[in-house]
Amino acid sequence: MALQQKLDGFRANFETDIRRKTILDNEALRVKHTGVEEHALKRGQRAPDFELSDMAGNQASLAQLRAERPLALIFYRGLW
Amino acid sequence: MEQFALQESYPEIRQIGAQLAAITPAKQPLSAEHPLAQVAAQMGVGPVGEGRTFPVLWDEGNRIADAFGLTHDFSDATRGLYMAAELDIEAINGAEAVWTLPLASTYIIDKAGMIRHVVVTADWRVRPEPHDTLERLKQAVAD
Repeated sequence: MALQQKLDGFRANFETDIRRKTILDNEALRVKHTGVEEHALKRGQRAPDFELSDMAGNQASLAQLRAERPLALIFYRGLW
Repeated sequence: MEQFALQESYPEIRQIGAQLAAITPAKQPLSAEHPLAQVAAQMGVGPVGEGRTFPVLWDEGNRIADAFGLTHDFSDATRGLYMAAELDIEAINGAEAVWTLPLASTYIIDKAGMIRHVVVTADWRVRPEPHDTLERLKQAVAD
């Protein structure tokens, strides 16, 4: 199953009532209107370096992660 | 859920000579008893973290997400909805965090640190398919 199909199934479970669905649809629009999509860093810009740890305490920096090969960097909202 | 789909693609990402990493403000995964974790488990994608072999890095207080321009706040209505669903973002993200989350985003970054491709959408319920990310990585490897 494609990722989006799974996500839509998950979403259907969370948006079980119309009130909930309306709140989340409105929120997606509100967030869009804040202009955050336009403010996000874009193609052709430099990615700011960082140094972070994983849950086991292992450190990783962007410079290390991308040093030898192209990197897909994914921002997760949470872990579920 | 996205991390399970990406985990499936991770061996191929490494095989083509690329790397994968994730950043999240969440300090730790939701417990297996959490309602959302249970829904995920029913769909065959839990528990979180099991079998994952690519780095997932903790972005305390969304500092890096801020640097990428990705964080957004919450309306009172949405915050109430999240609290009712046992998603206390402040608690999940750690004491220093506030009620902000990054937009779900995918960045392809080349060896020089330049951004080659971005997928960012204000509707966090929509994500790129791992296959598309893989194709973008292949292009970046080839260039």
